[in-house]
Amino acid sequence: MFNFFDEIKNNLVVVEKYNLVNISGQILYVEGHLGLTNLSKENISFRVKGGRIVVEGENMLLAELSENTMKIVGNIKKVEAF
Amino acid sequence: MRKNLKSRTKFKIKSLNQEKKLSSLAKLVRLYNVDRIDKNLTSFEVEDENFKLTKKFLENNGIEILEVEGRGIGKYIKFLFSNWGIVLAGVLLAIVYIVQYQFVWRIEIDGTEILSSSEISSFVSEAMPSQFKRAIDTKALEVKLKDNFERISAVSVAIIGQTLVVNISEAYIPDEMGDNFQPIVSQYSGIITRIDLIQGTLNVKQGDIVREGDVLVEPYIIDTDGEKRAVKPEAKIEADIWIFGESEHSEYSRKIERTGNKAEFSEVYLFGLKIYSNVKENEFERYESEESEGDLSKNMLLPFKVKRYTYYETKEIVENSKFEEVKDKKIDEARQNALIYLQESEIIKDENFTVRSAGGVTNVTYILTVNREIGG
Repeated sequence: MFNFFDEIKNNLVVVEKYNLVNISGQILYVEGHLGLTNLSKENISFRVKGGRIVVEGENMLLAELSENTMKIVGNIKKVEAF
Repeated sequence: MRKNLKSRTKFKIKSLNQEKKLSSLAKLVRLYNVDRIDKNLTSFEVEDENFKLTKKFLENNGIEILEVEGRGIGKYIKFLFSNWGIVLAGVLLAIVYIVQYQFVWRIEIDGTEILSSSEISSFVSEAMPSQFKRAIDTKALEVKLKDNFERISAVSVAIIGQTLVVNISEAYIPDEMGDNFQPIVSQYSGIITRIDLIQGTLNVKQGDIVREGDVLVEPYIIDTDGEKRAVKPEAKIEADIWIFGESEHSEYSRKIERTGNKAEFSEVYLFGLKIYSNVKENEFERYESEESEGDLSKNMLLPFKVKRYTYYETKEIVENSKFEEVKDKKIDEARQNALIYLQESEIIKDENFTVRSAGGVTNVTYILTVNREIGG
């Protein structure tokens, strides 16, 4: 089956650091995190290769957390990379 | 990330610097629904198979475990094992239900109009070998019903749930199929004016005087072989019939009228005991009396009852009048009494009256002649 993200990875020259997929501001999939730095309902931050990602929103929940992936659900307002 | 259907265990922990510790734990096991309840309080879930590993990690890292709560299927299995009484009751209930479901507990009869439902129901009940569903042969029941009830033209028997449903279609037996034909009889007395025979044997002819109840057409015909054959009699027979109305007049009559004088008395009762009375002897020579009973007054706490007696003085009035003075009125009264019996749109062919007097009483009989179909 065609996978849009795989296609991007395969065909474009990108630096493999992390992947963020935001679905309708309700779900945020994260690949390649290096550990949580902050966890609350309004702010979830985590380290990534070469920086830090800050996710801001309302009623956010860390629905899944593994060694290098996570799924954040809630009302996601902003995703910033530092 | 995959959707996980495995049962999970929920941990509620208390510690400082939780982000770092959770990140470390996530390297060992996958965490679900990580919820920061407070600055130092967090809850999360792990799959049951990772319970021991998670617990060990938390203990080794100085994280206080506040609550451990089972979730998913495992939790329910544990519940069932620890509440064997409920499980046993459930199993027994299921067994009782399964056993009783094997029996028919109700018989429903549909489609009966002439036949008696209760009669069929008791017949079916007796015809069933038992109430056990598997022992009931619905086809055999259908045959038995058809054999025992002539009126049944079609029948289906089915077991629906725990009800034996008998659906009946009743046979329509036209009159021609039987020999129970009734003759046409006259509904009125009169002189026959017209006969249109369709079927049957005539018992009267035009001009005959018949009385109510006389047979007009017999329910048979004589065929070419001279044999009597039953048929349903059909004919249209008309006759001039007479309708009577009467009125009466007496030359001497008495009537009672109230004079307008009256006397009223009352008695008051409480719980059936008479506590007041002003009843006196009635002084009227002639009188009529009325009696009534009711509450003394509305909205009273105690149930006072009152009986009221009213006496009306009366007088006798004697009237004398000659018939000649009221003759027209009495004839019209008799006519009106006859007209009551006239049918809608019926034409009066003739009308007359007779007057008979005896002992001061005069009777007027008014006779209307009309033409009417008399065969019933």
